[in-house]
Amino acid sequence: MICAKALAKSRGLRFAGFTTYEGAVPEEDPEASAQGSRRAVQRLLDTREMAEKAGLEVHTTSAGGTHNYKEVGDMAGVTEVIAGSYALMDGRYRSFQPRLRPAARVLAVVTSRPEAGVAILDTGQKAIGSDGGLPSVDGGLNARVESLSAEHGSLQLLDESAEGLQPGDKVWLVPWDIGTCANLYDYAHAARNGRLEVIWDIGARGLYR
Amino acid sequence: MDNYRPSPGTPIEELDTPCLLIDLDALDHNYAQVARTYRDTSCKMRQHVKNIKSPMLAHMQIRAGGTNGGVCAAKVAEAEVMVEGGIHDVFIPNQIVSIDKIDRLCALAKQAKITVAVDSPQNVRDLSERARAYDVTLGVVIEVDTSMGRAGTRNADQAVELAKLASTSPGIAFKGVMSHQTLPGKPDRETRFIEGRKYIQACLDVKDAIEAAGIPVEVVSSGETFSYDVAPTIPGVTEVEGGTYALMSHGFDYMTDLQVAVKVLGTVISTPRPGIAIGDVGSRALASPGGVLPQLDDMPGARVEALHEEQIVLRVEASSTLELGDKFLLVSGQQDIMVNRWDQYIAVRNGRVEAVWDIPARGCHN
Repeated sequence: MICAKALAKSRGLRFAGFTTYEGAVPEEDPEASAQGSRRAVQRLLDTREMAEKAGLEVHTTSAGGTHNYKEVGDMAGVTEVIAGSYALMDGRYRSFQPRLRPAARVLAVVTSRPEAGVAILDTGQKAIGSDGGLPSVDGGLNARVESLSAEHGSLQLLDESAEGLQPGDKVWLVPWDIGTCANLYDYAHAARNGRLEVIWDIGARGLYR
Repeated sequence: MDNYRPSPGTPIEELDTPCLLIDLDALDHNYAQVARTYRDTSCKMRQHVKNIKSPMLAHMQIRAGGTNGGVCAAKVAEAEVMVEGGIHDVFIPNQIVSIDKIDRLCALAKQAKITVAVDSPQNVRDLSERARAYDVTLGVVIEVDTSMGRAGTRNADQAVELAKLASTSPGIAFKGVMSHQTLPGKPDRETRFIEGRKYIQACLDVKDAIEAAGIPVEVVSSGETFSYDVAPTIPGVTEVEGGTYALMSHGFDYMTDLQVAVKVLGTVISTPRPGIAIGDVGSRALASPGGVLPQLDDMPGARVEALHEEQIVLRVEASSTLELGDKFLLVSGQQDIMVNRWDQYIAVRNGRVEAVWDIPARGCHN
């Protein structure tokens, strides 16, 4: 409130409203997560009410994210939701939003089959990002990412069909965090029906300042 | 892509943040340390450029000395950048199996000496066939697993069979063996030497088995940053694939002969409550594989509490303060993953910018 009042009086600045990002809500149980989101955003709405009672005009109340866009968007008084991951989706948000589909995946190549049950991929931490978690295997292959080093991925092969993987074969990976992954690439290959449709630059990659 | 090019002479305090800094005195120290270590040994450094991503920095070590004049590159695209940058000898200590990538290797072999690691007969046959089609010779080295459980042959018999195939296949020249190893934790010097010798010996045992089969072995590439001073003391090792030693990270702070040369400069953008300061740089720019946090450099009374994608949370003791706009320096736990997320190095000495260098092999994942 002190901040809002000071802002409202400052020349060159316009007080627009309040924002929060409740990233620290519990993530295991979806219902507990939704309740936590509502509680956190309610504090923001309470602040909005205080500001309005004090005579300030509040245009914007911005909250939420991919994991709770529906719950937060349904709350009266929230004017916008600042979600990002929902567009391309990733492993982290898959359990919260099963209706949203992963739209960005990394295509990896098997470079070594050193022993039974193990395949080495040409995709490691540098090419997919693993700051928060490991990628998951997509595309029907019964295998899981055992570990990533800087330049390599280690796959554990879980059935006979997966054992058939040979060096040169391709494997789809869904990154754990699409934001980190997209920030590693200069361009994205946009595909439809199994074919390349267009290549797009990732123009804001590496822009940290 | 960023293109931040502050003028030479700009004081560090005036830099826009976050930005990636190279401490040139520390870099010179590390390069001189390697040049000294390998000056009188037959074993030479072959710097791994996956850590530096810049032909400019590779040439600096070659000029400083201690190398065999070549570099290691993790990917074909990285090798391409090095050859374009004037490096004439590149070893890829990884398997290149896709035919389109092998063709790129062959094209590169028209311009430079190219060597690649193998661990399967099919890969040897593919390399041989494509090299003949391109009328080039690819050097081939067998990767030996010394307990990483990653790529590489699992026993000497496998390696001998592969060496027989490679030494009789046209288009490729069988060169020798290689191995790579990591050590967990923060080993002391004695542990480094004991463990380093053990792993390198495992690679040399495979060399002996191949020679016993009547196939000459010219190259034994073994050793990395933690064993850069171990490998040259072991007869038979011809080259070392050191990478981290150039710029260093806090994960290798047990290597006390080497100094941290790469740091990220950040700015405090929020002080929401006493004892907490929020900085303008997060995991996206710093990288924290496996959740390893970066460390504050030269800032007693403060430490990194948490890392988010775009912000860092610093815990500040009551005795010290961090105000809005204050700058801080961070050291990454895994330097090569971090460098791969940046487009420029701001090279500084004595608190001022000396040069800005592009990182042209950044994002060369294929």
